[in-house]
Parts: sequence; structure tokens; C-alpha cells
Amino acid sequence: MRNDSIMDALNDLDEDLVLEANQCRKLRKHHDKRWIVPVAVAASFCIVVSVLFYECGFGLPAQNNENTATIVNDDQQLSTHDLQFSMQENMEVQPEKQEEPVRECPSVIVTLENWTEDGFTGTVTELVDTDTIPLGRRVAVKTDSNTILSVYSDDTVVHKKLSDFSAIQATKLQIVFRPWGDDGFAEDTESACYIYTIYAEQIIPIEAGAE
Amino acid sequence: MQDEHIVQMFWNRDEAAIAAVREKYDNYLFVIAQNILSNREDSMECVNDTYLAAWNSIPPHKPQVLQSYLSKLTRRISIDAYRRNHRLKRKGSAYDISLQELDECISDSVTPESKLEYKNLAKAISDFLRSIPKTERTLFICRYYFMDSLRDSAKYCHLRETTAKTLLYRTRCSLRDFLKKEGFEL
Repeated sequence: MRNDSIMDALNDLDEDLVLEANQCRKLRKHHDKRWIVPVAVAASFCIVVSVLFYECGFGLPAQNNENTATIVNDDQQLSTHDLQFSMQENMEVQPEKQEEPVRECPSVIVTLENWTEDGFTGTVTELVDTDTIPLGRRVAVKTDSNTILSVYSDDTVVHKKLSDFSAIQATKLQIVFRPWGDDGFAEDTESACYIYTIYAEQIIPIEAGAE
Repeated sequence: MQDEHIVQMFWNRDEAAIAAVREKYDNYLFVIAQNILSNREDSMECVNDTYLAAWNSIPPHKPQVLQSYLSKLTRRISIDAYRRNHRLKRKGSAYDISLQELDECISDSVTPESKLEYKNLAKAISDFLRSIPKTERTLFICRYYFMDSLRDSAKYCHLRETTAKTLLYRTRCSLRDFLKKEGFEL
């Protein structure tokens, strides 16, 4: 076949001609790859600028710092299973809570079981207004010298420190879960039958069998 | 590794010469085979056959330019493989297309039966290529020796495809005239 002959003859082409042509092929291949370096440099530059912008926070919305304006309570021990009452006369309240409208606060009545030096334990025997604490749940309340008890008597209520009361006389306490407010204090009157309302930040159910 | 050193390793029957050649020229040779065969497995096989052919032929040969020597081996082995696989049927590989394009350059009556006649034809073509400008020369060799596609051949010569096509046509016509003048029957 005629064209096969020339194809075979080309195999014996002078070597310098073949090398010259191959050189052009190599140069072109290298030329084709010249874009890689500038594109890589540009891409790296864009990545660096993006990282700098992110680190400096440019253009990003301000993040809320959840650690500011939190309720500070030395006695408070929070966990997923245990919530404890912890009351202080002067608490730092989150600005958001102070601005919240007044509302009915969840509360329970606890039949006291045991008074301790720093609190008391009892069982929820009546639900007043709550969907967080179930009936029959044991609760533990931590108190300190600044704990305020609000004493209700007929149509009156007085607020006084826990230490001013004879705890033994109290058999039931109404525990109201509400933010600490600016309540005034009046002269106290003592009665074993009174229901004491403890204004607390949190009511913590305790595990069965735990104290 | 320098080519001279590799050739010397062949002469010393050092099998590391094969590995050295493979490392340096494997891709180069594969492209040549692939252009002809358009089949990856066959191309790889031809490249391996090239290394074997080089091992068997060096010595007694001592190529001055190892790259050219290897490319010739690969080209010949690949063309033979193509002919074996497509004895009766032509397919659209680069080799087949190049073959059809070269139809007009030489007549059927010219069938070199001796190696000398092939060498004379090759010499004539080389002389012809030296007489034409470098761009046309490079284009012709890329297209018909390396079996690069028209697109790649044009790219290597910094030409548009249509321009390359026209130049190749003119070169083929000039080659035909040259071979006719040199006494090769058309």
C-alpha cells in the first residue's frame, strides 16, 4: 500500500529533524502550563485574604456573648439532673429578664422533710402553677443567710430573711420560680401555719434516693 | 540521567538501563503509541515491547540520540500492531487519518521492496523537509511522524487549525512534486 510505504519511510527520518519537532512540542506543552503558577498564586492570595477577614471579624454579625450578664449565685449548682434553689438578696439579673413583662410564675408547694444548715429538702405535694416540676418530685433547696422568705398571712405578705424564722415551724413552703425582684421588707410575724414563699431562681428536682 | 550513560548501561547489559529509560521516556513513548493505536492497553504493550527491542538491539547498535532511536522503535512497533489488528478494516485513529492524507503523495506502484529503497525514500523526504520553512516542517513531522492530531499539531506550531490544515495540504503537494522530481513514481 502506497501510503504505508511513506509511513514506514518516515521512520528513518533524520534524527535532528525529529528532535527539532519534538522540541517545539515540549515547549508548547510547557507554555500551556504557564497559567498554573499565576492562578495558584491568585488563589492562595484569595484564601489568605478570606482568612484574615474571618479572623478580624469583618463583615460578620456581632456575636452575643452568652457569658455576660448572667445570674451569679454562689450556691447554684447546675446539672442536667439536679437543679437547686439558690437565693441571694442581691442577684445580678440578666438585662433581658429585667425587661421581661410581669407574668405568672410557676410555683409549687413543698412539704418539708428536712431542714439543713444550708437548705431544706421536701416533696412537691401540690402544683400551683408549673409545668416543670412534677407532683411527688423531691426537691432540694439551698439557702444562705441572705435567703428571703416571703410570709403570707391572710391578705398580707412580709419578706424576711430565713434566719429570722424558726424553720421547724414551717411544714410547707410554696416555692415560686421567678426572677428576683425588688421586694420591700416589712416587719415579720411568725406563725407555724404560715406558708412561706421562697422566691428562687430555680427549682431542682433531685434523684430518687438522693439527698 | 544522561542518555550516554543509559546507552552505556545497555552495552554493559545492566538491567537498570530499562528502568532508567522507563523513567525518562515512558510518557513520551506512550503518547506516540497512543496516537497510532488509540488504545491504552495496546499502547502500553507497545511501549514495553520498545524496551525489549532496545535491550535486544543495544548492542550492536549504539544510538547517538537515544530519544530518537526509541521513538522510531515505538513508532514501528505501534504501526505493526495497528496493521495486525486492522488488517482488513480501517478505523479512525490518527494513523489511519494520516495514512489517507498521504495517499496523494506517492503512487501504488511504488512499493519499496528493499531496505535500501526505504532508506532512499526516507532520505528524500528528509531533504525535502529541510528545504521548507521550520513551521511547515514541524507541522509535517508532528502530524505524520508523531501522529499528533491536527489540533495538537496546530497548537505546537502556534497556528489555527484551519491554517494548519491548509499548510499541510500544501506541504503534501510540494512533497509529491519533490518526490516526482527525485524519480519516485507517483
